[in-house]
Amino acid sequence: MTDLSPRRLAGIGRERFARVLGILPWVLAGLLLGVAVHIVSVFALPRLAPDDARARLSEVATVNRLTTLSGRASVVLPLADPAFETAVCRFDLTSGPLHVRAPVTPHYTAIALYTSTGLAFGAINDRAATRRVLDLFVVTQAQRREITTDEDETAADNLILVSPTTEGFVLIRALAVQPSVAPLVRDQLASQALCEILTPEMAPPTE
Amino acid sequence: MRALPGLLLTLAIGAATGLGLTALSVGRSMGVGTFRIGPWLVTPKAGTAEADPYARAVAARLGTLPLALADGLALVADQDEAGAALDGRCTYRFHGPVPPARYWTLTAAGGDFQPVVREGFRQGFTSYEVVRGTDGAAEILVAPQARAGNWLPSGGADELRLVLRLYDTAVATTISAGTPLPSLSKVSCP
Repeated sequence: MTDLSPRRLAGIGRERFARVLGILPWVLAGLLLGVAVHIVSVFALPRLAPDDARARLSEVATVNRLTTLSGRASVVLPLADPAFETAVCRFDLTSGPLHVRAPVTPHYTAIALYTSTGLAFGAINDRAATRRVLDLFVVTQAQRREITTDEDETAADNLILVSPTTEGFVLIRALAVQPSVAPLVRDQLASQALCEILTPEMAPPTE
Repeated sequence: MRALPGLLLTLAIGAATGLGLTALSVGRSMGVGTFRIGPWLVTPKAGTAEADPYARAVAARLGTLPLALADGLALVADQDEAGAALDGRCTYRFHGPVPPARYWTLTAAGGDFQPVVREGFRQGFTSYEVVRGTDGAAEILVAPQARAGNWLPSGGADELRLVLRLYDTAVATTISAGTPLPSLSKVSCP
């Protein structure tokens, strides 16, 4: 059956065209589905990533206690600056507000706060310090309402930050401008930094 | 086309394009909030509570906590001035104005952001220890073999990233395509 008359060829062409036209809606639906899959997977990644900061830090840090990551910071947290000494604290605010204290190191110190999915919701550096230490209180929305200070709050010299989640992380990072000062900065961080839950009697001091 | 093969085709295209797009954008750290200034990539909102879903996904995949904006700003270079991908076997020259910041550091990392050199070797320079030229600008040579001056070892890995971190800087909130940043030029390649 090799009838290759122009009419026959046109027939084959039309048939092909019709078949392609038949696939087209399915392809378009597939591309639309692809966009949806893309959006859903990007939003789901922070919750599903098996090796995220939360997983990495729960291996090394205990809840509401400070752990110093001496020299291991860039191993535990990729992209951490090797020039910094780091201490980390996993917090859980269910039993009360959290008190974070960082020493003011010779060059640069910062306290950064993260939700459990790794969203940075606040940070302060030693520029905010008026003493040799940097004090910070992390509270939930409900705990914030309970702290009723009689006096002017600014006079109390306390920094209070509201956490959007009850669980999260605190990173205390101190810069060692050259390798020789790293041990000094590390010691200062280990001996003076603090991360503890306040009991009701120990509510943020107002003076 | 009948329903079943059509449906399968739709599902296959959907899964492939959807997951492919995600792997591509998250793998290359390119989301809607990321922009390029010369060789540098920056996602200013990554360290804030308004971080976009791409920035959040990138951080989760890398397993890191992004630099909080009030703390500092990180710029990542994955290519040189001319647009060629950074190669650890080549020599690069980092030179020029670093935006005003209390401190800055420049570190070398591999494609997966893991250190490129063994412990004990220099992983980066801080603004404090870098030796400056007569014009006050810092010049750092990124090379696999030792160089005179400020030498940052790149370990000879084929995939290389340079990370410039600015601490306590006003640029964190004002950075735009017009912000002057250090240049990163290729000196030589083996």
